Amino acid sequence: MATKITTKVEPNTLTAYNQKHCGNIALITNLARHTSDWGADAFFERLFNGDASKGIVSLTWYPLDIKYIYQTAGLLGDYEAIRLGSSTFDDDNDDPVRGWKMKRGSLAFEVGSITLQRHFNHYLDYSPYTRIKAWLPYIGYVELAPEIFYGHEIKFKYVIDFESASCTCFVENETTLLSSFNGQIGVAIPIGSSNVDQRIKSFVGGSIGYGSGAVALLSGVATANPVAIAGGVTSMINSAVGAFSNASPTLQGGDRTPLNTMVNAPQQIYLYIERPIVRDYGNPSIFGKPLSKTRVLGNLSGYTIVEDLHLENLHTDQDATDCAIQSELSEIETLLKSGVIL
Amino acid sequence: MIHITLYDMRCEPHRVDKERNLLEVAQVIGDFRDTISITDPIITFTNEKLFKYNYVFVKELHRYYFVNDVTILANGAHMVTLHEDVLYSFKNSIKAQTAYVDRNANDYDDDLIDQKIVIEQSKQYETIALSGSPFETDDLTSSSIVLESMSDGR
Repeated sequence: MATKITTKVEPNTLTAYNQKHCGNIALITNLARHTSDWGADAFFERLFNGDASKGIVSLTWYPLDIKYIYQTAGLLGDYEAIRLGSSTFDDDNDDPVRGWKMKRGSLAFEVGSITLQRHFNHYLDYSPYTRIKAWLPYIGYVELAPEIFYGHEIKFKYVIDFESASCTCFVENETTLLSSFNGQIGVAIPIGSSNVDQRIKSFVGGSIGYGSGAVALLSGVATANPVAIAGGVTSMINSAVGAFSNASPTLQGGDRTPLNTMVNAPQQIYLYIERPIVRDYGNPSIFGKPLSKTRVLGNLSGYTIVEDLHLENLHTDQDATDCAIQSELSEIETLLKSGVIL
Repeated sequence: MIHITLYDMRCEPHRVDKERNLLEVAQVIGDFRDTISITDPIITFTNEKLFKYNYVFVKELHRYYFVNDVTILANGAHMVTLHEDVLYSFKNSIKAQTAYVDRNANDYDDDLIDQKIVIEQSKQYETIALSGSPFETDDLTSSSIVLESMSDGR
């Protein structure tokens, strides 16, 4: 019965013609160098071959070591030269730029697990008295029912879809998927055919803007939303792709502004537990504690409050034929309901 | 003429079984005062142990009584106003009853809501960080770039 997340069961969207490679930030600079080194002849040649506009499908930054998690999952391919269209491209040493081939377009991996013990060992361990919120990186705060943690190992599994740069966190115990939450994790570095088209126009018009510097790489950067540039990732990518910016004056931003903020947020899963402060636990010998069950009174001891009973066959201890009168029955019932010590 | 046992009761009035908490003070002979109620009788007897008893057993009524009040008569006799202790008088019958019990000192379920537990308006907070996150923590050095490309398949 499929009650848990089982990874690796997915349609593989990657083919020999459509591939994903991962690498470090140098991939961007090499790619930038690659395009900026194109002269007009080379550019048109690649364009007419369909390479320039179609070779690069997407370029996305992720805040984790993708090579490591793919390697751990056994889904990391070869470290191979990346082909754009019909050719490879070179790095500073004129060697083909390589990347780690990703065998799947999405991947599931565990981000953390925890088992919580009950704090009070009574009803205050549950909602609405105790509340547990979980900070999930790239998703945000979510509220989880406290009872799912008690006596179970709760695992937080992320699935990253490298097609959409989105992530989903699945919360599950040993047997059951309990909840899921969605977020966005990849920062799309804008690059695409529209940009190339613009370059074509620039080439034709002889006014390509190398060195202009006034390029909006990401949405909000130096344009609509100055707040976005506060993100470390933004500045980092900005810096890394500086050469690329100069080569592509019309790069447009994606819609990832909140993600830039997320990069600066905690990168671990945190549980934020809110519990009541107990002033007085109550003294069982004085107040008793809740039972709410049917019992023979002779089997109980200590302070007892009866919710209800049907008094029957009452006789005095001194004379078994001496029955209780109505006022005695009423008083016995009243006393049992107000609390007696058995 | 009635037979009265005077006790010093040393427990809570609402304790059902007072057997171990009754200290016998004296056994006396007395009388009922005029007409009596079985649950609230008034008895008279002569005894010098004033203030030494607070609980009595009246043999002829087969019942135990709390002493509500004592009046010293002109002849020195005690006129004692009683109220029946129905719990001890019917102890065994009460213990045989089956009841739906709301609260008990020793048999209880902690997961039931207990209004006797007093909680404050303020809260306490705990933060737990789960280790093992693969996401960036400090310097962004282990971030990755994913390049999706189209190629000729070679």
